[in-house]
Amino acid sequence: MEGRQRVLKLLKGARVRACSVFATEFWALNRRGYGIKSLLEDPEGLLPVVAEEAQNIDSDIFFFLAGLTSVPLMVLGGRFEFPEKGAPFAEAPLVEDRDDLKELDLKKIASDARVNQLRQASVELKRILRDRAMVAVNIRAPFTQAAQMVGSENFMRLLYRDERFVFELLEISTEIFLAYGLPFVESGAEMIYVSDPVASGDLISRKHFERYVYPYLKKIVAEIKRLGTPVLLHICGDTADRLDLIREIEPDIMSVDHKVDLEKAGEILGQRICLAGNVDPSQVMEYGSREEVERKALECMEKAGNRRFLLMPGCEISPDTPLENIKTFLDVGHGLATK
Amino acid sequence: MEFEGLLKAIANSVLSMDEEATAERTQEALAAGIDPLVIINEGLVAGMNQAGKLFEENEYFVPELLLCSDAMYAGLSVVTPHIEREENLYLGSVVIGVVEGDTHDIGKNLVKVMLEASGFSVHDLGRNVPAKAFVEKVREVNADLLCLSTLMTTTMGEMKKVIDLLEKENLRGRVKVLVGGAPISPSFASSIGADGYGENAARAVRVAKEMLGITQAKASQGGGR
Repeated sequence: MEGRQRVLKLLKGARVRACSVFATEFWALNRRGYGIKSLLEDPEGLLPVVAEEAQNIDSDIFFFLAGLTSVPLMVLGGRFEFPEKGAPFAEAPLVEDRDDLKELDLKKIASDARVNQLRQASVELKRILRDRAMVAVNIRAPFTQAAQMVGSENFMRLLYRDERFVFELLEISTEIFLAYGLPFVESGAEMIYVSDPVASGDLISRKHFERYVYPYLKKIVAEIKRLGTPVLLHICGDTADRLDLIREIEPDIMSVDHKVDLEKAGEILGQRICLAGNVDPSQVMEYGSREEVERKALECMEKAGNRRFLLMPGCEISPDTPLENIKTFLDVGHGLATK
Repeated sequence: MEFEGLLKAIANSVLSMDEEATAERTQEALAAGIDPLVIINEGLVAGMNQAGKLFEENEYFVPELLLCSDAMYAGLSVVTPHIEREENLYLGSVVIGVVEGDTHDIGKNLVKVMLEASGFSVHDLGRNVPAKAFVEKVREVNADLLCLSTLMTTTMGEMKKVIDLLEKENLRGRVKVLVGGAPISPSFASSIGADGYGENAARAVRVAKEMLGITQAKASQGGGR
């Protein structure tokens, strides 16, 4: 059975040994010496590079557009800088005040040539990878995107200083999410990877999560699922105190970071949500020995117990992660002998 | 007793994230004749330290800590003009920044605030800082401490590059290196040759003082060099 089939079975409720190494197009491009900007400028030319790297590993899910989650904000006029290494960042906030919100023309998203090219690239990647891996398209969640719109630090202050503005930002960020994300689903994306790093327990309280994150995440997850497409939700850092709320959001798969106790997470999330995680992506995957990778992966599987489980690192892996560690991880996840 | 009450009110207004009240209480304390350094240490910084403690205990999070620091700065802007220059706290010189490839700087900014509140002179290089820029600044200001931050697993390797470059430039022996950020662990810190690891902003300051051999007594005297 190949990767995509394993994931499909897992999503249907079967207990199969599924495993993804949380590799992204950013990982693939960096491994080959390309920055993420190259994919935005020439998706057609760079897609074969991404596909080759994805085919070089036996990861059941391949994550696409993780380095380009700011594209919808770029379309709306946000100016982003692309460092040689790392993800693009805003040169200046897209939104300074309420008046700026009125200026945003969301219709631009559907007609933007870059967005359409990326969508075609996601369809093409799915065609190339076939059953080898499921392609999960990454869209940034409303809360984190709202933080990007005004600048993260400013956004953190606004949570206390101007709640009305925060809600206005979240409403429009949700509309942007849907305007950008749903056409990917309509084009045949088989999984949507929703990332919400700013909703982490390392940054905001449960009280703020409940008030500002929960309603919008619930809405967008429901919208995607209504179209029949599964959602993998990932929130970085410690999410232990909000997993009961995430259970109500009902993603198909919840990916937890290495700070979270897998056993407890599984108990809180229940059987309806497939648990994914959570080997330390840096300490173990990048800097650990092959033996350590094997030991930690087995530990995760043991902690997950008999529930539906997708073995993954706790977060996206670095392009410098040794290929040997990646292969060891995937072999353990798939129940293959590694020695 | 009146002094104590005023200082406590300053600390409480910092802790309750109230800029206006902090500035007003600070003004009252000055008018009552309290020494500006006492206002800073036992009012403003005490409030910020309490906020840091609540942050460590998961009672406060980043938004709360940012607003407390805004309140502390509101008080500092009132009291600073009244300080004689030689009275300023000076525990040492720090260069701080987010490593190349990463632009997440909230954590770095919090560490900067806490270090400044403790009496360090901080040179902030911002975010997405190349290794070379860190090393040049360390040399330029003769830094006692270099603080490197990253939030992403993909850019952790940059920290080692900075440390390697310090070695190459024969500066490593002159400066302590403190690393921090969500994906960083103590063992990662030691594996790349860093001197210390700060799990969060409050602990980073404690570790910085330990690494530089600054005792509590010395800090409260405003010692250093």
